[in-house]
Amino acid sequence: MTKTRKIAILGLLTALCFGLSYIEFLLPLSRLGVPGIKPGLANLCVMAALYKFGLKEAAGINLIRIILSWMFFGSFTGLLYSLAGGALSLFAMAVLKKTGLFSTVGVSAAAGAAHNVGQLAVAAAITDASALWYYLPVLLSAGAVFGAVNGVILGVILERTGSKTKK
Amino acid sequence: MKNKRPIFDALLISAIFLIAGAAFLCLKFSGRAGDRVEIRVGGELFATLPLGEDRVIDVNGLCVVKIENGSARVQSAVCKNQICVHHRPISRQNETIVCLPGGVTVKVAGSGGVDLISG
Repeated sequence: MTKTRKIAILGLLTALCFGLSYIEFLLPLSRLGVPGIKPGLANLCVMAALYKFGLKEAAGINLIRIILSWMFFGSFTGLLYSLAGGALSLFAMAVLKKTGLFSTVGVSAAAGAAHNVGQLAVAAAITDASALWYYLPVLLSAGAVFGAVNGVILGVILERTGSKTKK
Repeated sequence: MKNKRPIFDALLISAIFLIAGAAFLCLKFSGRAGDRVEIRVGGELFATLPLGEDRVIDVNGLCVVKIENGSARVQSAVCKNQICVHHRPISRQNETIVCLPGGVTVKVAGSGGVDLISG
């Protein structure tokens, strides 16, 4: 893949990622009664970058998306949550992918759970630490479920877009 | 995608659910009826109120907490998404309602019993 082509694709992925973040922002899922529940669609692009290019590119896209989302429709605490969640989920994805044991479903499910744990940790640090762990079970499960769904979607995307994935 | 080994995926996801279940059980069984609520703003204790007395308290204009029939709930809040307002009333030890935009937490505490979570 030429450098120009790579830059173009990464740009597209970043834009798509930001678009998906916006769609998530519009979904009133947190009305269900638990804060922080969201499908994590934007992570699809980050994972696509991770599989097609590598950790560095995925981290770049994730960081740009987080900063853009913060500037357009976030708050400062929102930025902290996103950074913690993004970093932890990317870490989980990179490690699990490296083991070679898991398909996109497993990697993505763990990423979703890790993302929520990261956010919860920040929330616990900001407010009363002991209190928030009540949300842990539901956030872990929700992260795993949404993550697994995303993993299925990503599997299809990687298959359809064909070109070899980076080991 | 050639590394299809669904068994590992299944194991991984089960493990996550197991952890979630274990955490849930831990929290469930450490919960006993509380007798007072602690309201904190940004981590600072704002007020401690007995659950036994019905009353309504305004928390720095950020939200209004209502204590009624031995449980507490957030009656109204200035934040946009109103998550805390939709939260069910709380009455057991360590149950908490959080209003993140305002940094307000409403937590049930009780005398007696070990506080497993913060302990």
